[in-house]
Amino acid sequence: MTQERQIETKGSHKSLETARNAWQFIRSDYQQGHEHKKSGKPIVWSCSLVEKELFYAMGLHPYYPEQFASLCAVRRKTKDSEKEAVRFARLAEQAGYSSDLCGYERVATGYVLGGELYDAPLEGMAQPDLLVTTSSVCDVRLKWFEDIAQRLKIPLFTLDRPERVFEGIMQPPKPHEVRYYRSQLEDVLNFMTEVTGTKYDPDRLNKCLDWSYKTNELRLEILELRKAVPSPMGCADGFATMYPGMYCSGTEKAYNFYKALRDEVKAKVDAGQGQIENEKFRLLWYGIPTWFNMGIFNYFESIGGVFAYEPTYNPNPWPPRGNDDPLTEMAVRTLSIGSSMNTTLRAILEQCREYNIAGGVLAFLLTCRPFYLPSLELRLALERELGIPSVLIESDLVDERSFSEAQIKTRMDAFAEQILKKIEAGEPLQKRKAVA
Amino acid sequence: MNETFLRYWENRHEAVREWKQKTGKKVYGYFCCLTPEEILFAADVLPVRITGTGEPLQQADLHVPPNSCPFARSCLDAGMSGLYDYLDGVVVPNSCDIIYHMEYFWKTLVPRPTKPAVIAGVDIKPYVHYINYPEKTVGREVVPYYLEVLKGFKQGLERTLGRIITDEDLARSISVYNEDKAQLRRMYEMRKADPPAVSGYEAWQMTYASVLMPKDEHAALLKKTLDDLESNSRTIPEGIRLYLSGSAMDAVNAHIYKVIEESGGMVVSDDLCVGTRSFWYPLNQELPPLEAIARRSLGTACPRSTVTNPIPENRWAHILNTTQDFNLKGAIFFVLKCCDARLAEYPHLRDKFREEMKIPVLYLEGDYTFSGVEQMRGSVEAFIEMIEG
Repeated sequence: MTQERQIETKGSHKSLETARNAWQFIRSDYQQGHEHKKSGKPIVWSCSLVEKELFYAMGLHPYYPEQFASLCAVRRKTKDSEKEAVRFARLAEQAGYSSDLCGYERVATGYVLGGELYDAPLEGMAQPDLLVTTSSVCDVRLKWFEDIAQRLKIPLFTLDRPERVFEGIMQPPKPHEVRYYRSQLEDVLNFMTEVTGTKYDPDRLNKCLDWSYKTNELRLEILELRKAVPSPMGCADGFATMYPGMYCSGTEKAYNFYKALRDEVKAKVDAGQGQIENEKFRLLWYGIPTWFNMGIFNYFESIGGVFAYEPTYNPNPWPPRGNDDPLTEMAVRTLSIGSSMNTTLRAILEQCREYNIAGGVLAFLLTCRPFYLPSLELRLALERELGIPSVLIESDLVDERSFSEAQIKTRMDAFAEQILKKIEAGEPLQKRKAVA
Repeated sequence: MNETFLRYWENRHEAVREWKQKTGKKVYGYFCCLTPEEILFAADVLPVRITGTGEPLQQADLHVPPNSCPFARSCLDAGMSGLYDYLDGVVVPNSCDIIYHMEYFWKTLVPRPTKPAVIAGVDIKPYVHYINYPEKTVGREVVPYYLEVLKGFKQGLERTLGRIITDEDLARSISVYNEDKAQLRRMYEMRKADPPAVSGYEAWQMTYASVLMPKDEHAALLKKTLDDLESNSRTIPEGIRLYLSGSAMDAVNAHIYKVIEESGGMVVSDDLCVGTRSFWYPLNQELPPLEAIARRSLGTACPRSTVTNPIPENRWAHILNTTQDFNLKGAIFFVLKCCDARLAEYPHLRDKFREEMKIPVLYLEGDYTFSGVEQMRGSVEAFIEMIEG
């Protein structure tokens, strides 16, 4: 076993009971997948932003290599061995996959190359019968799934979401965009039928959509509650509880999970209870977390700093549920959100105002181009528009080899100093928006 | 080498500025060979491919982080530094994660020649035109979708330029583009001979000129050059016959041709965007013109694109088309750092070359500097020696 070093990374302390128990939800979902496979039912590997309701409506159990990679970032085979993410990333790199490629891809590819799919955290992901990916978010997820399809000889379908550029954050899509995306939803259902033999049943899909729409409303309600001062739910809680919403949307169990979460957050807000006793400033976490070191979210607590807002996995408002064709409804929903740099920056600035954010901790994710590319512009915009400082945390998402703990702590201390000076001087922590 | 080609290759910006001054016509810059530049040409606009300089960045590094495509960063830096101040407009297709963001970067950071004409929140004469290119280029509804995108692009151009682009304009443009593609194909056919009539570097220079010059002038000059070469029965010194597959191939990266030739190799075919991907497949003149352009653009073998197929092999299909009968002895992958689509596809394509074509593969990672390319000399020499046995 090659082992360069072990860094002193640790898990986070979460402020919510539901967040602490979210792990059980994930473990149970993985177990259900293995049982599903054993009973001869089909398994799909997919990724976030694919409409999950499609899988549940078609009787598939999904696994998500990107999410699995984040599990590998916190697990070791034995107490003294390197993290599983590092072990798998090495396998991929030895096979010619560049270390500049997304950490998620390298870890999941190493896992596939290793050939022992069940010798992994939570017994790994069950062997897939089909693959479904999307062009959303980044190029890698498309090319990576192509690579898995070519390597494992497993059929793939790609949903191509037009990347719309417009002023603002949301905008109804144009008819040709809806037609294009809807046709692919129809095609992916036909593809699933061809591979699994299960026929598409619109009633079943509608039932899944009912659950996902209700769940989305709950998640939006939680976001509103999280704006309270003191902050009732932090980013560690947010990341710990994203799995049901991101990966199990369209199920009753996801709805129940967020109902419990909403109730817990609401109770804390009603009681005026925050993440910590004496909240002095609130922070933004931009990007995917450094999954191997979630303890970073508690770093500023001793000086009154809490992470209050993380845009990465948060839901967007969907058009209200209608009695329309479910595929059109899904297409409109998916296409309504903009993805341009301008949209990203506007959305984050808007929410930083809403959450009274005093500073931004920006995950400077070296191998995750969609989050990495806007980082510098975001830093400039936070300073220019809100007058707030930010700090860049240079790292990979799951591969801790790129994480320099001492350097990052020095930077974070200097960053906190800037905010504390403002507090001491009685200066506002955020520039007020100019009123026309 | 024809003097006009040399002029464009040696100082592209000066050559285009002169052309603009002489003709009084407009010049648009564009990213990526899948851009439907035929529409620009139909509107009497000269489309020129935007490339970088390979020099240290002056301004862009404040905005685009370092661990990303060095070519795209350099292009933006060149724009911010005023190197492209002669452009009347810029076309940005959604062709990869970083080029997609050039819509924002170019719009917000690069000085434009005229002020925006904003009415009701819309710039009615935009400087930057965005083309929502699909990532899936084969599939049901792809063509109708993309046709709508191109109609929108054409209308935006018409409003900006104050002229209508008719089907006749488009058909004329297609005819010119097809003639240029035919000449470039002819040049590649001449490289099938052993030894070839044109070196890899010369072929690249002539192909590069095609993305900077008016296509009609380029086609005529290339035809004459090839005619002359044929009548002289010209051949060049022998070299190990190689295939070059890589990221953006402009004047900076093209130094690799020299390194290869000086090491005893000879590139005879390629999978490059200033290479086969820009001209291999002609436009279908039987189709309505805009549809022909849409299909040509979708047919570009871009490493980032995929197709509706359970096991997509569209990239290998293009490689098969561009390797057949070239009698190749090896393949070099010259991939720019952080070029995600190319990095992700490399292991699979490498294995295909080794297993199906039975030829060795060399992988080189570029940083988009001349010195970086020069440092590859040792690896290239060793690779060629290994093939020679």
